[in-house]
Amino acid sequence: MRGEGVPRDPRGPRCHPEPARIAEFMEYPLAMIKALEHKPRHRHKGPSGASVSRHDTLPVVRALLLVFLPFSLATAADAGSDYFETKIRPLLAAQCAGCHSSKLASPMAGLRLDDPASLRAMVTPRNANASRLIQAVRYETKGMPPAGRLPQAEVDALVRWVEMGAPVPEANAAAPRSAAAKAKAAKEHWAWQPLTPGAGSIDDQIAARLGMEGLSMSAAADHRTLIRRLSYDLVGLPPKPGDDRMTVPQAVENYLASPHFGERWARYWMDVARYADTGFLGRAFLIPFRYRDWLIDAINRDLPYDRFVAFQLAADQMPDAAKADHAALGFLSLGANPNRPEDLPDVADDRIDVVTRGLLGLTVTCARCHDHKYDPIPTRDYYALYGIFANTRYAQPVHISPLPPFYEKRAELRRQIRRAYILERLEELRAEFREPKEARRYLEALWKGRHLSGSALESLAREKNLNTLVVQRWAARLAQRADWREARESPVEMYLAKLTAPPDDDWRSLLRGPSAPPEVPEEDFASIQTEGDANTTRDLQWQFEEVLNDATYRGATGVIAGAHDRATIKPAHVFVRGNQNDLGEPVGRCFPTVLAKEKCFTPSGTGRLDLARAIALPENPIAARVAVNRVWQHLFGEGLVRTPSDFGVRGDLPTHPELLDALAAEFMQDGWSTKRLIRRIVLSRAYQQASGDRAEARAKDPENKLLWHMNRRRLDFEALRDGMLAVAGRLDPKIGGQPVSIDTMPADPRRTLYTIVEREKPLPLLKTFDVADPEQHSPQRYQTTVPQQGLFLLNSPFVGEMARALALRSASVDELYRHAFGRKPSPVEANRAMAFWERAGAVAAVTGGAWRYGTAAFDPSTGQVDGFTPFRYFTGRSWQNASAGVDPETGVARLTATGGAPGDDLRAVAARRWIAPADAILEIKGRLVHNVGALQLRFKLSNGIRGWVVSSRQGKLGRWRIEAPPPPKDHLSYQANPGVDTNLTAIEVKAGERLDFIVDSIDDYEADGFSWAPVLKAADGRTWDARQDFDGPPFPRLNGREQLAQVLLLSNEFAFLD
Amino acid sequence: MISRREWWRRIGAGMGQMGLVGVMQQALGANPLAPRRPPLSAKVKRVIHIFCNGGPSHVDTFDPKPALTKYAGQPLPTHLRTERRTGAAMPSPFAFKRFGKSGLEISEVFSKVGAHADDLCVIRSMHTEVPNHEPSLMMMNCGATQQSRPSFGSWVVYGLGSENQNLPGFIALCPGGLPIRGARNWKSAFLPGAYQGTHIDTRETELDKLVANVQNRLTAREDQERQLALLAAMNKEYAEQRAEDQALEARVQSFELAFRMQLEAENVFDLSKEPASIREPYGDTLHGRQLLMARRLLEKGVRVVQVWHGAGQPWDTHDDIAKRVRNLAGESDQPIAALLTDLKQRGMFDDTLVLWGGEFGRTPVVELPAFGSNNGTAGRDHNSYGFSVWLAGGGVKGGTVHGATDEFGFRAEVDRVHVHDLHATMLHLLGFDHERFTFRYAGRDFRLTDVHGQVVRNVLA
Repeated sequence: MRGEGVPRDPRGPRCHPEPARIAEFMEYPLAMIKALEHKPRHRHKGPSGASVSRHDTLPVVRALLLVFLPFSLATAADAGSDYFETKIRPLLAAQCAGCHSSKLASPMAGLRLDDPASLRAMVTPRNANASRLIQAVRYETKGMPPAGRLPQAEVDALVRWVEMGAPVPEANAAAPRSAAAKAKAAKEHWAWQPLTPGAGSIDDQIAARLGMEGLSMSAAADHRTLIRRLSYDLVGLPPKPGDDRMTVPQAVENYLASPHFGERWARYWMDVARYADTGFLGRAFLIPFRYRDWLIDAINRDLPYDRFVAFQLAADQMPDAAKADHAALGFLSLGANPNRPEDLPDVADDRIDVVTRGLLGLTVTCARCHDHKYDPIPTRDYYALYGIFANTRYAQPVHISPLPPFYEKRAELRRQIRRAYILERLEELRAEFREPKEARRYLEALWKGRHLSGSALESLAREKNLNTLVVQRWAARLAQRADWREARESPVEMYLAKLTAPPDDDWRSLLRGPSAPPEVPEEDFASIQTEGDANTTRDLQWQFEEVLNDATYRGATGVIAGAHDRATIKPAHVFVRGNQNDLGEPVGRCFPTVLAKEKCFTPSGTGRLDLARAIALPENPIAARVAVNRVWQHLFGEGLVRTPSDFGVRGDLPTHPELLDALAAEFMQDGWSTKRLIRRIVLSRAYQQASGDRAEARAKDPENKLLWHMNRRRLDFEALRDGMLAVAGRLDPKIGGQPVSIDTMPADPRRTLYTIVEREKPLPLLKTFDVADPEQHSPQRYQTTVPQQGLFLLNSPFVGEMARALALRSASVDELYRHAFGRKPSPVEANRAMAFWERAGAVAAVTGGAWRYGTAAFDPSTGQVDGFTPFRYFTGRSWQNASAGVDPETGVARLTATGGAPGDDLRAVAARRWIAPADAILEIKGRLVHNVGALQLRFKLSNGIRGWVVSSRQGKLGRWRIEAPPPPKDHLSYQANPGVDTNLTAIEVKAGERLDFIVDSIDDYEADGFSWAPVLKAADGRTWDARQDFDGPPFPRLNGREQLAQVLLLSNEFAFLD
Repeated sequence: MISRREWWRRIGAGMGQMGLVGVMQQALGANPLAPRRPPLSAKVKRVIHIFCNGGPSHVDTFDPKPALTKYAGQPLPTHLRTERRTGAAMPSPFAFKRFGKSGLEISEVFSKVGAHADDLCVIRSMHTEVPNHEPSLMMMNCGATQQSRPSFGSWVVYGLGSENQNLPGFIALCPGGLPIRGARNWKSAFLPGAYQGTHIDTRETELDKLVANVQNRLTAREDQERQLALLAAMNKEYAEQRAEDQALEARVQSFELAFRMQLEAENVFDLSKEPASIREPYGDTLHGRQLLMARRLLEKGVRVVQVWHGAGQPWDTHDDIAKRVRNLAGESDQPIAALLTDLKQRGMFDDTLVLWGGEFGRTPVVELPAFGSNNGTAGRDHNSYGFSVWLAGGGVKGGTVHGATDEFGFRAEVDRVHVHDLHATMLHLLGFDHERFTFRYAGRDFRLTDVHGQVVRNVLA
């Protein structure tokens, strides 16, 4: 019994099948059933027919499962084939193919282990001891492989396979195991067929389907519930006061026209696009928020979905795209992007996944190592897309206006340093390859491997610890020489003698000059660099991008991240079993064959634009089906297809196939307008139903697949937090811009979708509330209920702050309820609330200590400090002005307990201010240290810093300068940077006098972090210690009213949408 | 959004067609951390992973190589490709001694752990794929070098839930900040967020900084109780108008759990609750405290505790092996020995699995100086070809060595054990067949071991 025989058999084998296994979730359900035997519950046949079981069948079901499951999935032959595919073929490919493959011109001993006949000749089925293959790997006869024995586990696997009868899948072993079944699926599976739209409206179709089960829709929800539902669904915020005076159609138009509509729906798309602000190793992406803001804008202006998709795949190639539209390419660029050359397959895989699951509902990445097990997606199709995405360069800066000189200078400096570093190292590495000792190693290896090529040669290079590229260069060069090619005995010694003898042009050109193998060209530096080189060049590149990011944060709108095709398109090959070193047949750049036959793209470029155009076409309705289903899912809580990114044969069938098709058809006829689609759905009776329970309907359709009522939904994290900000009157309605932190005190009042998403340093709070994981495309969010959610709601400063603000703006219990729920309290509720309301309590006046943290204008020539603006946010570690990233006005200026960053503008330098509580005579001790990294030191990026102590009454009290030390010989010495003592004695201060501790960057504004935590000691023993005294804003306890407000924010009424 | 029904449909995917999902859901409630029994018989029910991040040198700790003395200062006859430039053979500066009845050879720097030699199973033939920290950390923790996959701890909590509903099921203790690759090391990836590891910075002493929001600073405790009573009343009325919705009830419960978690956390992280006779053997050091904390967490029912040596990669000894390895081992030798003793005294040893190791090992040859790498003083480079880990606890064959590296400790040669095999073995001890323990995502049934891994039978008691 195979998956394709019974299309939706949930017990079908896995993508990576193991033979004769219960393919699905282990045996764990069995254990559960066992636990449940004493708690039988009635279940009835559901209307979809999918849910059939009664309690009295349970023991039987269990027995059947126990007895039959392990054997029922595959015939013995299939099991053998599986075993061969998963264990034996990869083993032979990895261990033996170097010498015994039909790809070789003359395989050793004429043996081709990838040829079924040749392989069979080596074994005696069910008799391992008599099999030549086994004897060889046991070193009983031949001693294979010659380089060393196989691990015992692999020998065991071979023995087991022989004992199984040495099954080898017939004929073309790489062909799908059931090509016919898949071809049938391609012809018949609903998702890949033309649309068959049902007649009638949404309501007609829902009602008709309900009617077939003797069910009907619920009555409409009450007006207030509807307005709240629409408001959260369309703009992600609670209704504003007075919204319920609008009729439903008015409210719909109002919300669709709201600029907040784009925010709500952009966040949904960000789940699809695995949005993040930073990537691999915390690298800040090039201005990712431009992509997010592009989404908001595109959705707000209802950019037709086909163009919405096209921009995101190929804005750089669309004639009508503005430069700003290149931001849409973030869809491709914002993946994890590991940076080593050998990671390219993973980088491309990430894009293939986001494009195929995200836009086509197709799990193409299942076909990376072998043909898709269930869907008609051959490996060729995967690599046809690989050819497109591996040839696209991502996150390339696109300048839409010139950088201001301040940033251009810094960017250019990094460009130059990086190039100089590469050239210097390139010469050193070439010199190494030229050394006679090295040349000998290469020549000897190449003589030994003179019959090898391709991946076999690469394996040899790895085994001998030689550089693969240099091996290839030597191989190519030597192949041109008759004295090598035709040699019968090893010419290595002769070569070495000639190479080290006095110069002769012919021989000389083997070691020097552009075609000499050691003379690796600059563009191939990445292939010969060491780990240290890779780190250094990567860090310099990232620093360069950081300059561009800084410039953007500071309001210079110069750059966005784009993508473009590689100058020379490298043809793609199938990677045999996903191994990039094992090239199979070449493939063109084409559309998945299940969706369109023979649709291949331009030979000149990657074909991204063609791909984009092929995705959203009326004759290819899958994209429309997927898009429409996502919209439905967001409005109802469940899609019409409940596996929204898998429309393949193992995905769920649509609950209402004809309705899905009708919506898709109308969507396309409507010019791919998402807003019109949403309007159609939310104006339906189906959407406007009440969410209340109806026992008789629930009995027939417990999962509400047929929509006999509206699903009650819990607000997602964004809506919950935004809702609190809104009812507390704190929400900042600004649209777009740089990311913020939602983890500061006070809270940043921006909407939650602007939270910075750091892939490697995710805010645990986001995980706690099931916000989409940014690592991969996310079709749906989980909805878990864990106590950490409760801890956040009960104890976090954020909820406390919202409760306080909500109480403060509410003059009475009535008003409190109106703000929180948009309704009046019942008499019981009002009565109960009074006990809290009356304990208003006095707000204790809290004063900070003697320290203040902020920025001031500073003139180093006079030592004059002017103005002082306290920092806005406390992150738990530092005081700063932007809750995340770089503040437009004050840059990176910030202060921590032990130091900080001076900022890059003398009009706003970081100032740690101490205010004398009384007259005193002070002794001030401290040590100022300049914190610079190895890279800054090595490339002399910073000229040092200065520290100042300035009194408001006495002017400059002290000044210290730290010069940047000379470049280090190694990276460890920078840690020994001793800094300078900043001690002052007998400083007389008057009550109220201010001392400012200021560090400035000496004009270069390079990475000038510092440590400086002075201790002030008065003659009478009182001490102020910058480090120990450092703290966030005061946080008084909630009074009764505020406690009441908090309870309303925590209630289920607040958290659920009826 | 995935409803709980959908959630259980995935968890009990095979049962979907049988209509049993709803039943299981009823029985287990909506709590993804509810404790569960594994499908097969298990030897252990909890795991502590002592992670020497940076890559501990096996030839200086658990894999003696006298041949290095013979070749000291000379090139080795076989030299494998290393990440950075390496030179001649460098013998270990430490003496190896035989310990216990088994006579296991262990370096002097771990002599206190050595006293437990008869409980250890040292795997000397570990190997992994890439001699870089980032991919190797991912391999050791998540079973894949590059792609985003759930961590071992997340898989285990997904499979077994947690014994204590008032604490997270999977806790990563790491003092002073995060290791390289940060929270990816304990991520749940496509598993639900409830299975994500919770990081605790054991250098912090304030409870609030140990577990986010665990301390109530907003109200007095009796005020919070009053608030919860009001909340319960409001939620009850709300639910009465809306029959049969467990999502409502689950959320009500989560507040009660949160309230109890506050009390439990206060208790579990307060090491002064341990008698001096227990505290002293661990020692009043960072590592002593964090291993004692780990034991308290395990005892309270936390399923998986990972104990990291420190932020960044402390065991990345490119320099000065003689001094640095002695210091690093010195920091943890006594606390680890104390932990093993403590687990035994409490009868926890036999159902706890202890894993000690790093993401890879180090070269038997010296690393040559290079900018950005080291300062060229007798250090070792990364080695993914061969390294050692040890296991102890329930179901583990103590006092044994499994596998071997070559004569010099460069490459695992005999009975090679890949990280996938280690994972398969650990899952086996926990009662899972690693080939059947799957999660459906993106059209595939994912496993911790992907398509690899074999249980290493030889290490099993």
